[in-house]
Amino acid sequence: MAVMQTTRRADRDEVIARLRAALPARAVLTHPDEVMLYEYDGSALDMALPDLVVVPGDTAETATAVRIAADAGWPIVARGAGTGLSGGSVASEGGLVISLARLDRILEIDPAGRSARVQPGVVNVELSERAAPHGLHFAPDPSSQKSSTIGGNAAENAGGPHCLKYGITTNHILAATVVLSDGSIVTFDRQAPDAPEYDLLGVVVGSEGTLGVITELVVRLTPNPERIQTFLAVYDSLDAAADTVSAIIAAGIIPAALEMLEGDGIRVVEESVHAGYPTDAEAVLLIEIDGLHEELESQAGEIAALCDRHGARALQVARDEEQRRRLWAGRKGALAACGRLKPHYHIQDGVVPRSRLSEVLRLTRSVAARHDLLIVNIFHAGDGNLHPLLLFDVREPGVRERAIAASEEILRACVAVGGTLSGEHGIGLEKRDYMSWIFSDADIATMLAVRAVFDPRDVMNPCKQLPTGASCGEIRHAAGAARAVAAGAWI
Amino acid sequence: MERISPTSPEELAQALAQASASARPVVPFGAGCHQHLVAPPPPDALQLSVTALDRVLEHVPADLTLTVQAGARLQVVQAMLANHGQWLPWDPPGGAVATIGGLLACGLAGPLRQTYGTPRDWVLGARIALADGTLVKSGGKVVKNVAGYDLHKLHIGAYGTLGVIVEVTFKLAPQPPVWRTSSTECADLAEALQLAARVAMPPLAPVSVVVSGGGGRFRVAARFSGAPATVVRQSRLAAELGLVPLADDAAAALWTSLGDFGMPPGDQPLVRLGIAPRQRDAYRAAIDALDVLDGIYQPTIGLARMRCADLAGLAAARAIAEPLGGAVVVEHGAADAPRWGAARDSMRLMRALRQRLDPADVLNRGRTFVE
Repeated sequence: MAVMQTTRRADRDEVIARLRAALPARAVLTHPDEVMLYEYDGSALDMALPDLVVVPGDTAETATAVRIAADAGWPIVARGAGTGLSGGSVASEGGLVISLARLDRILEIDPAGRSARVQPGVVNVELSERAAPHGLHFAPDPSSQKSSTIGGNAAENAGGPHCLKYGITTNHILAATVVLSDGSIVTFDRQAPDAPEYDLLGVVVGSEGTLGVITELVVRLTPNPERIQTFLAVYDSLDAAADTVSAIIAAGIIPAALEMLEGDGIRVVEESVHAGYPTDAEAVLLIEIDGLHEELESQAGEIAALCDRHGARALQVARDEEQRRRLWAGRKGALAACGRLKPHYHIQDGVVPRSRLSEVLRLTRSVAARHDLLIVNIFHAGDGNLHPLLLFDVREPGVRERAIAASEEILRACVAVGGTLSGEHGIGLEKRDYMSWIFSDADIATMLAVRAVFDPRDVMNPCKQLPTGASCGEIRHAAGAARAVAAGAWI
Repeated sequence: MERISPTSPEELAQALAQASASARPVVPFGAGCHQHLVAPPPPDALQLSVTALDRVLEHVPADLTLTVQAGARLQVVQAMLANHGQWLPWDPPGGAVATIGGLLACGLAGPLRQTYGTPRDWVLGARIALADGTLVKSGGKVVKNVAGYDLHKLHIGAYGTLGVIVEVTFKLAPQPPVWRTSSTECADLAEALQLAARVAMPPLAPVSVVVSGGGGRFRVAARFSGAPATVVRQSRLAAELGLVPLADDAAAALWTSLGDFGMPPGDQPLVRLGIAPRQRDAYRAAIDALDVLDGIYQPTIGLARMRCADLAGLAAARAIAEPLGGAVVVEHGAADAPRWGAARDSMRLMRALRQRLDPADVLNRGRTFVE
């Protein structure tokens, strides 16, 4: 560690000098008070101070910063709003953080072509607001959408409730301009159908900043539905709610969104948000369908019948937009509300086949009970994308270790029934070392080979997403071990 | 050309390893009905067929997921899914005979893509035999998954140059209960394209709109799906624009013929134009630059596939499309004309990737856009 720090510090002055010579003064942040703002992301798990932060004003400045940092052998970590939940934008190896916050312009909206050209720092919900007069919206709607950026959404391949019907971010990115680690700028453009080109865009989206820095995007805009209908189905049994989800999917109905809240989560959400959820329910489903008028008529009838058949106690329909908004406010504010139960939480993001929901949900409850932890599931049930929220007070001795153990057990169970580690939050640092649960050494080696094609110097968000083994180097192993001790093995 | 049809992924991978060791060119092969899309193979190539890998490995109707081997024929799989009211919303050319692996490798899709997207949007994961004989996978079997790079996407439309797809998992869709097609004829392509664009505007929501034909006869066809009441209203709205409902059997025949345009290829060159859909003027100009006999046009997605009298206008069409990020590709009958057009912005990376994944340069060597 000591060796690394000495080397870094010597480098640092030189890198600052080079950046200052090449970039506007306000683009280079060096003061500890400024740099400290970039220490963590939304997971608040892995914290690490970057050596420096650059806030470029355009693609060319981004490329300049990348070239200078890469020439110095520094890790380069791109960052949007820092709302990520897997440590992806944490500078775990130190180095340069590039904040895309100033690249926040919507450059063009093309209503007829149903697309928009945007800079990566545009906040997700702003694009939909700007597209609304044209009857269009940007479909990916992560719960963080009021603050998270489209560049960050693309890097993490973010999801959201309405991804059930409309697909996750990768289905909505048409082109990306990317700065590679050698400072070159390349555009991966799939706006033209069937161009003779490998689908490199499909690899860049979801690569968590490990292949390059995205500085511009063209995204698909989706026509607003003719009509929307939102239901709240209320259950006295978790199994019955889970079985309804499986039955809706098995019946061939793909709602726009199909969300579940259960247990104590319902009560605290109701207390803080007043969404209209019955506080004595064991589970509630938020079911939204959208499309043409006649389609909704027929789907609404089928959904009501399925809820009834699988034991729903009640089924309410949102009467108007205000009631719909309140039902959604409960779902979107759920995580914050759970702070009333316990001061600390850890959220997982595993996915299971939709036919296996009830058994895995039961298992999460028994795991939590066995580790003496409070658990609330608030999640994208229609996708099988669980968000078990483990709640605790970190001041309680041993609780952190129990939470880690419980969290791992739940993820292992997801994998065991044929699921995966993450549906939308990304691997980052948090789940990097679990990748071998689902991928062979050869699978991972192939992903690393592709990474090396984009980033032969291994400076782009190094040691994230893929277990890098020897290529991470001794210093980085040491840094990793230090993090585990300092912050708890808060994976 | 020597041909082998391995009966297991391991055996296929082994054959690749041997070919790499001896630097022998390999031609991955499905049903063979789309080999004209790339340059002719070298005479000493090994034809590596996936047709013996034709099993459905797992279909979970309740999860709407399907895992199949690459040699499974799309039509056979669709028939099996239909028993469960499910389907792959995918109508590529040659779909009646082609294998799923071959169709993915060629990156083919039909008119349904306007609403359902391309297989890229439906593939959840894949298992690939790399040139060195390693079997690797990416993605998974659940409908939402961000673990690792989506490397399976790389192989869709790569013509087997980065590895051979041996197994693939799809997300499935429920089949819509009712379909109806409406159509009309126009004497002029410009008029037909304008009408097609209007038919694609809300409140109309066609699954696909295609203009087809040549000379002085162009047909605009739109199909609608959903609940019975949905298609009734949609058909009524289409009628207001002059589109007349077709009988079911006529509609089915029409979409089959549209999907199979250019299959099998004839004597004249087949040219494909793809350009960003918002480049409406350039789309028209590039078509006009070519000496088109007939074609199928999907203006809302910026795609046109045309049978041409000759390739005299090829350079002019490319000069229009390429600066705007579009491409004009000669699908068949290129003879000495350059098949793929100018190199894309990412060519350096594509070459490096191919070198990395196929260092012996055996997979469809010299036949595609990456050389």
